[in-house]
Amino acid sequence: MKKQIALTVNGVKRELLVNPQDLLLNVLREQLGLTGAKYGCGIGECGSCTVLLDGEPILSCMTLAVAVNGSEVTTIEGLLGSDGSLHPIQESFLEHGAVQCGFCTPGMILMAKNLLDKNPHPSEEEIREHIRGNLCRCTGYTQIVQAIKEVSLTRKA
Amino acid sequence: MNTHILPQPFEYVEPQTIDEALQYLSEHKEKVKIIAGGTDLLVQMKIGKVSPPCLLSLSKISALRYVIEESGLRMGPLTTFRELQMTPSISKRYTALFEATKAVSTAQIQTMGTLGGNLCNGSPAADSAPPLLVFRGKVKLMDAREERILSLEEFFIGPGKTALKAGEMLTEIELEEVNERTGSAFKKLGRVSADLSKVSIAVAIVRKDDLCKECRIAVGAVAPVPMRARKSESILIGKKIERSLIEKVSHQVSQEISPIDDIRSTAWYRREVVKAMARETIQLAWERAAS
Repeated sequence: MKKQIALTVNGVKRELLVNPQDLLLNVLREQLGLTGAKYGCGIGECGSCTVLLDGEPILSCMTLAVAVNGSEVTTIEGLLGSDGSLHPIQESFLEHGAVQCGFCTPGMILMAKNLLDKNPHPSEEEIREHIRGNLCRCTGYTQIVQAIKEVSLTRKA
Repeated sequence: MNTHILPQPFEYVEPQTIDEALQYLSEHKEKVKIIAGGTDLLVQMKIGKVSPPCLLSLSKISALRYVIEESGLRMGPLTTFRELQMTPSISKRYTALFEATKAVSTAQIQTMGTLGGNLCNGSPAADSAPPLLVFRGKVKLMDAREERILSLEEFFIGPGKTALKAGEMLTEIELEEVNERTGSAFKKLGRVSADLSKVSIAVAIVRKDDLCKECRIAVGAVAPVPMRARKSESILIGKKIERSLIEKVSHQVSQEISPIDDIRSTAWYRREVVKAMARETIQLAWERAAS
């Protein structure tokens, strides 16, 4: 039987009907058309389905949509400014060539946002530690780490 | 195998209180699986290992989410690894537990995963088990009629098996009091840092001047259950800590475990590497215990 849930997704209130077995990732992608979060491994190893739930990173492919009723979800689409401008972290990823195939990028950027929100000036070790659950198979970790570091350096302390 | 979806439909209930949850459990018993963070259960459901007709979610029961310090430490099973990390008394005094929560898989899993889920899953490799064992952890189990308290050692029965009966749930984890003379440490070895452990070890030492007054050592992923290495502990108790003695203990730990060959490692390697891990962890716990 379908259940009604209410979510705030990227600042917009949404009321949705979901089955108990529906995963948050599929609801975001198929019901809301937010295809930024990706299906990768499906078992919690790759981090490409990462979204922020009340500001903290979770794996949306291992989260029941029904269980996040009442919460606030941020996907990569939610980082755009109201005028359509890119978030500074997104800009930095572009500048550093930290994107190749792009599949891991939404997860990487949301992890970077989560880290920088709590710790505006992380060390390289702290950056690597924080994104250890996000796999990049184009071997771009160096640029990704540099991109995150650059944002932390240019931000006002 | 399609890990994109959960193939089987199920009923989903979300009680608000412990009483409501216990009542539901007593009425539905074997049909129900309890879900906390879901990081283990949902994977098992995706790969078809389990397909429960009903999931009982604890996520709305705020009375299961707390850390209280009074004499020892009492923790609600719904507390996440991230919440444990942010608790000053854990980072300051229960160092081995703090280090274990940092060693859990990834930041995402640390946000989602709960202490109770980690224990009730019954994995010999559960990261939180060795530190809870060295702080002489106890668990409170309740059903609709009564509650009982077990030591964590009694709680683990075999791989994937715990003392929990149908209709029962874990409602609290309690640790003994520690003071500044207690030093502890945790180490985990996995292929990469986000992996399940090949071997994990926790050590807690109570120091009096140059003597080791108390010592507890617990290891994970090297036996059917997370276990205390009591013979190894007894070598250190009451002794002056020296390099040669630590060496002797590390060999004893290697003897005391009963590892197997599996996807993550071999029994031989586990017996070898546990010696080095025991040496380092004992040394670290000793240094952290104020003289």
